[in-house]
Amino acid sequence: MRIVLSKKIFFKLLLSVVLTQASFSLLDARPISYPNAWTIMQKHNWEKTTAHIHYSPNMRNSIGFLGAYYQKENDRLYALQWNHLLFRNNQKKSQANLYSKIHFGRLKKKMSQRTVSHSAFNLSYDWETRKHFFLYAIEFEHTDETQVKSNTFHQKARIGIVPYVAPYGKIHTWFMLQLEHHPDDLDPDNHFIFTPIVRFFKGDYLCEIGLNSNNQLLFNSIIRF
Amino acid sequence: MKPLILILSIFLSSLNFLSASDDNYDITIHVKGLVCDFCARSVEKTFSKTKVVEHINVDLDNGFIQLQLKEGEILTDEKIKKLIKASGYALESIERNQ
Repeated sequence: MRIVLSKKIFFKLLLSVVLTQASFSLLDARPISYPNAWTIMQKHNWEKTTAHIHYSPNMRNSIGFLGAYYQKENDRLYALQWNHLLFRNNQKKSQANLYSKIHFGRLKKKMSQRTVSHSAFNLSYDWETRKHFFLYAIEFEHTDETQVKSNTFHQKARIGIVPYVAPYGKIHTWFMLQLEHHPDDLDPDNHFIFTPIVRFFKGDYLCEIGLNSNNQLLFNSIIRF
Repeated sequence: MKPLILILSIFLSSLNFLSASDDNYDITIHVKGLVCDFCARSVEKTFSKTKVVEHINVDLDNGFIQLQLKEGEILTDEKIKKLIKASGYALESIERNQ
């Protein structure tokens, strides 16, 4: 009996880790493009590689497809995502935004050979000037197994400064520090993850590279057209 | 010595001519929220679609955009306000250079 119980607990814990890693879809740059424009976002980090393509009919909404591959579990996510600008505060030297992001999709799990429903709700706040950047995001996820339902949450913050202020059309460089909190992760090394990041930004193109506190690579890129 | 002064004069005159080209802009629009290249691209794309704008210059440092209109075209303050809002930013003021 004790062995069966342990297996159940182990399975639930394992599942919670998988689900945590399977649905962390925070996007660190603005998730909505200018009106009638497309955006392609690629993201690679310690947990997954994602591709997100979306269309923005106006400055408040974007709708698109999100695909993700989770390296450790070999799981795959296919989802539709809606990003919405809830609030924007424009000032002479700064801009602040509050975004919501929702996705619904199917998660193909390698271990159980099952495909389950997956959804996530994300709130992110950012504040930016020409020299400073701040972001805080929190995400809640829900995944259905046949008998087990799981809800998890994680959060992250990012600060950034520029080494120089570049005019429009030139290459902008940002030095950033990102802190992630994954309280449900089984691996204690992943409870808090620090990632120093360098971001390059020019016109419609953005890319960033970093190495986290577990020596794992981060590489993100965005193209708008 | 004289050729050198002549070349220098021509060079300085050309600089004057280049800087004077800023006066070719018909409208200067002061905008709140312009903080990055993405913001600049947004207003640039929005105004370019109006088909009355010949050239647009975005100055992120000073938070304004300048428009050079096509010959004989006009752009009302109301239209400018709508375009700035549609881009996601806030209008501060509009200056007409004529």
